[in-house]
Amino acid sequence: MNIQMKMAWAGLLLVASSAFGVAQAELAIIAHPSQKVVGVSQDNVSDIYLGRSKTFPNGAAVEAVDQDSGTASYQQFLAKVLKMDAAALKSYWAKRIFSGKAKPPKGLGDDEAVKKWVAANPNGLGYVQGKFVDSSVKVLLIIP
Amino acid sequence: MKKVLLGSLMGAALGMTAGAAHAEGVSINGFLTTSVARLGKSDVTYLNAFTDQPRFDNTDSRLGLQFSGEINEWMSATAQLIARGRGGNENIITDWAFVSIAAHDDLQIRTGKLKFPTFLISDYYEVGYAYPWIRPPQELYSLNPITTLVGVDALYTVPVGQANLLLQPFVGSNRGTAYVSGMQAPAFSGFGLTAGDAINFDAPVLVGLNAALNFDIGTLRAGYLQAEVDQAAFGILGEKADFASIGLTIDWRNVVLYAEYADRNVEKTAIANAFPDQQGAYVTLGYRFGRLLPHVTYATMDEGKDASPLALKQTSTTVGLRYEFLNGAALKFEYQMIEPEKNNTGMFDTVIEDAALYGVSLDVIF
Repeated sequence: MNIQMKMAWAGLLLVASSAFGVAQAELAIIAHPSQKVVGVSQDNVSDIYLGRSKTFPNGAAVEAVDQDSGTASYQQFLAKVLKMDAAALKSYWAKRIFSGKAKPPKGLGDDEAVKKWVAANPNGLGYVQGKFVDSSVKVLLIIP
Repeated sequence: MKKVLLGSLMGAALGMTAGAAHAEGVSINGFLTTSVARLGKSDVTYLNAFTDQPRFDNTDSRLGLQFSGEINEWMSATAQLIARGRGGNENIITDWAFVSIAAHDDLQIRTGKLKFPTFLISDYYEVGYAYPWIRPPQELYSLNPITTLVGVDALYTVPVGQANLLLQPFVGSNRGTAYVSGMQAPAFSGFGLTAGDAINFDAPVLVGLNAALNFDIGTLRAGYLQAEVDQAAFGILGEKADFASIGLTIDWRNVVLYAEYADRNVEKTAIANAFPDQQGAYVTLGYRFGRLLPHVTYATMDEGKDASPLALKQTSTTVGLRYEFLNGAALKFEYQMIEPEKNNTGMFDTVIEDAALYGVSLDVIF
């Protein structure tokens, strides 16, 4: 491998690690520690966040909170759980909001803010980077 | 409250808030379409609005603001105001104003002023950002001149496997305005009316059902609406018009499809002169390349069950591009070739062989 090639590879790796380093971390779907529901799937979470379901699979009421669109967790959640790009999600909600059918989950800042909110709300549902998880919340699902 | 509202509006205007602005439990969302269109032929008007003089203040340009707030755990209130580019500056209408009651997890009852779904995208017709075209295909969407009712509807959702079935019965009343078509103009000259003049009418009873199956990659829906119509000057009293429609929309692996068919049937009485039987249909096919969505539409409008000499007959082919240049903001470019049937005006004010309509629009939501 010549020197130019090596430099090109190093550059590429640097770009890749800075762009995707955070996004490769695990995302934890979290609820209040008192939450009894088990076996929550990625589809269940997606249905709740898209306003298609107002309850957990066991029928318990749920209130989901989102993160602000700028965070790495938000981008990861969009791609891996909702499986949509930002434009498709905007369009999805435009149809539902302006026809008075449903409202999107409220955006609540970053990982720390979401964890605090979920820890304080028995019906709460949120998502944070795995490293933010502690005993104040219960993990329902890990998104690798 | 005023101060909070102003702050929120300023925040939204400055792009400081992502999505809805929340103020004391009141959320504010909005949409805006600004567009300009020009007809390729002179001395003729299309859709009572478009000529060879490009104008921004045409029927397409509008601003909508939606306010919604929780009343209590089960009830919320929503209002949507629309300011149109056409007409005077005082021209602001309330398109929606309702209270919603969450009767059950799967049942929502709404009462007040509601847009009702005669067709696939009737209830977000004003939100240009949410669909590919500058304006939804008029061969079908012009069939029902009433789009809102004052009354009540219910949104009942039933899970069907991986999909959701929405059943939406609605009932109410409203007034409406239709415009004298090119085909009606000679017959209506006795009333002192010419093409494009408004006919106001009353619809004391509007009743219908919308059924929509929402699945992973799209929606399949069917609907039925019956309207009772009064128009004293035309001798129309309690006569019935009904609308049956079916539609499909798919968004799958970058392929975007819209297809819809609708049939308007009226009683064979005085009403048949004001609203002849008509059918409308269209198919749109598009393909997403990232933020670009090029699309093509074929639309047709024809006489309905009773062949009326007043029926509008035309086809159109539209080639368009929707470009989502920033999140929540789309630019649209369109070229439409409209061809009325021989000796028919179609939706022009006079008989014409064909004409092209060029349009550009900017659609945003916030």
